[in-house]
Amino acid sequence: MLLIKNAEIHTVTDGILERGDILVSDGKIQEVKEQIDVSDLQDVEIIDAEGCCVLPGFIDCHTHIGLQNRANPMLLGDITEITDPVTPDEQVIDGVDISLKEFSNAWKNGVTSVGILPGSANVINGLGFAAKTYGDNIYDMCMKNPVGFKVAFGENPKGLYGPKFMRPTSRMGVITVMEEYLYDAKAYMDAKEAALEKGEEFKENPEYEAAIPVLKREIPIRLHCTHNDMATAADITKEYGIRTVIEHAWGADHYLNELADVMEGVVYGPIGGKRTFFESRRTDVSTVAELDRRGLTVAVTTDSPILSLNSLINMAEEAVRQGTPIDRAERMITINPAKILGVEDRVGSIEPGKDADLVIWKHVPLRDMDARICHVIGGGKVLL
Amino acid sequence: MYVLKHGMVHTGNGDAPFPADLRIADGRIQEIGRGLVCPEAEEIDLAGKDIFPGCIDPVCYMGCLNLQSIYKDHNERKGMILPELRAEDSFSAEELVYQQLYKRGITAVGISTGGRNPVSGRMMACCTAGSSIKDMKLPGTAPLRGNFLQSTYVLSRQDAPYPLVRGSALQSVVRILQSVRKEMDAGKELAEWMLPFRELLTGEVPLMAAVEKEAEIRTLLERMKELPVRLILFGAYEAAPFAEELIEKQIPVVLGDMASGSGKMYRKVELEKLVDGVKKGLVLAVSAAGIQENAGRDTFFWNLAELRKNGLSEEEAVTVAAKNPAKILGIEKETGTLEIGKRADLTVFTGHPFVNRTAVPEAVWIQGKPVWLREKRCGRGLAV
Repeated sequence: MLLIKNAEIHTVTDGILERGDILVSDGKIQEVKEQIDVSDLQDVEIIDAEGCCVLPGFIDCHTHIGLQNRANPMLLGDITEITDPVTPDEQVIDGVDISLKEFSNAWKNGVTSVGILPGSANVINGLGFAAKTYGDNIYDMCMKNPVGFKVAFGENPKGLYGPKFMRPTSRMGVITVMEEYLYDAKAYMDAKEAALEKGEEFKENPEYEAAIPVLKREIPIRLHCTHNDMATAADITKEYGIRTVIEHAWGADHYLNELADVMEGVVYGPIGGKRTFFESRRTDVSTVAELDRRGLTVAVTTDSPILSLNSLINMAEEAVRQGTPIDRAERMITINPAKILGVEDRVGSIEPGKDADLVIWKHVPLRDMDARICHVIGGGKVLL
Repeated sequence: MYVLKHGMVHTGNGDAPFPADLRIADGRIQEIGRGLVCPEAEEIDLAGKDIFPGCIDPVCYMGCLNLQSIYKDHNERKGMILPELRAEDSFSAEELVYQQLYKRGITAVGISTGGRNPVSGRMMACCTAGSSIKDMKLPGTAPLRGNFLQSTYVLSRQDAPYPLVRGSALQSVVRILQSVRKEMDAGKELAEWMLPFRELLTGEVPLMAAVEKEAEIRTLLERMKELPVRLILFGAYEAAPFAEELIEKQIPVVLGDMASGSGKMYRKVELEKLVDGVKKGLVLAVSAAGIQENAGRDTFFWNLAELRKNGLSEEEAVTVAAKNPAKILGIEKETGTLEIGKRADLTVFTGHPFVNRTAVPEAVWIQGKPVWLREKRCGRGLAV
């Protein structure tokens, strides 16, 4: 058992408890209140967090960690199967190597959960999952699989297949590849249901099986999408009645209505790059405040290993600097990415019954420039 | 002529901030003091605001990259030891201004040649707003850029038969310096190609030496020991163990971008030790540039935030952001602190940006002219 005493507790979902205690056992948060009496309990480890504040472990719902060894950039990574623009049944979890430093760097910097997605080199890239960043077996660390179906619009598939003179060679070509797949998958699903209803035998095709949770709205598509592609994304989302989360979302400030009307969420970023003339040509993190005001579930992302996960807090801090209230920015790296991953019942806030992934900070992150981590607690164990 | 009234002045010299007025005329700071009165000047009330020297990023490829094209201008791929090349000949004012560095409070940069050659060219100090090199270039002796690290030669292998390893890259430069020095000692007239090396040997021009690993720094310091070259370490992620030696020899350090590509975690970055060095006299600056790539303006501040978390005080951070890089670029007589006679390159913030995350730039001045105001956007116009 673990008791964190006298902390300023940022619960995220239920405001700030100015001074309170958190009781942890069996890897879960048991109690959160002003004062918890443990005199009747035995073997209680106590952390006095006087002058500190506690936040839930941070979450980045869009990463590719464990899939590419950045210490040796000459190695081809395991992010995407780049031999075919449509690889829907690729399970990205099978490419993950947790010995890569991104994992320990994540929890040491307070990021205790991540979404790990396939890349965006193909149009249809495969299935991503949600995991903890601490542990020694990725299949145990996994919270939920699959959590999203990764689709990419825009420059990446075009840039990969265009030079090989394969489809797609243009942005509009990308869209037709996606629509053909969805159309066929829907026909497949209907045929399967009809066959099963009649009690006939049906030969399953894993390529289309992967789309069924998407068409049944059980998981969202996680759509690499920027600028004008958002208008197209809105059309396809409505047409197929699917759930769509817009990833990267550079240029979203010009598509606020399209997004607010039909999208489930927006994962913004990464920011911090130089201004180019390509997809990230207009990164404006003040957009997240506007998207948040319109009721979208908004998260920010490092796209690690593009940026390292220790920069996740920098993203949220930039959002604060650009006008997002601190409590809303906190949500963008905790409960909102948890919702996008569909694991909000386990992580993303400080509530009884949730996993005890907690970070104790000296000073207040997102507000104080010198805020630093004192302790990281993962699954009820003091990791740092 | 302007008088900025009632602001809190942070000189950048490490002094405690004090309330004062600033009189600006002819692009320079003419007076700093209480209750300045000047009837012919435009008065601007800055009560409750903080005034800082403009930040300076001492290594910046943006402005000589040729961003739109795959053919980049900051690296000359033909040839290896190229002291005669000048970054200013690849300069594009539009590309630098497009980055909007000034909006974040970065008023000057050191435009640098790239990371592909043992000596890649001569850097140039310039301000970040303007319309041509004529307005933007700052007088001073900008460093020569050298690269003595392993990663450079992994990249340049395809272009050059020699050198293939960092050892021979350094040796090739050291051999030239030794032979030029011999000629100088013998009082001989130097051939024209030797002149840039003479500038290094007389200390007139420093060498911005890109190194990242401890072993690379060790080799550089050892081989340069006998030569009177003024070194600056750039990238320098693993510089902390050398802090004492660097202080003694007055070798400044420019800490490169730590956010991109998981860069920080594959290196042994000991920020606490570096900060400790600063307190003992180490001249430290930060950059948004890495060895090969340039991140954007935000990462400059993320580096500073990392240093703040590791014990750098808020006024020391101002020195690291402005005064130290000015010294490194040889423009300390022009800019880098708020002092009488210096260029009025300054930023007005709504608080202390190195204390409070919500502090934002209110106005940015370069050479005595507002280039950006939060309320009334000035655009990029700078009529010098």
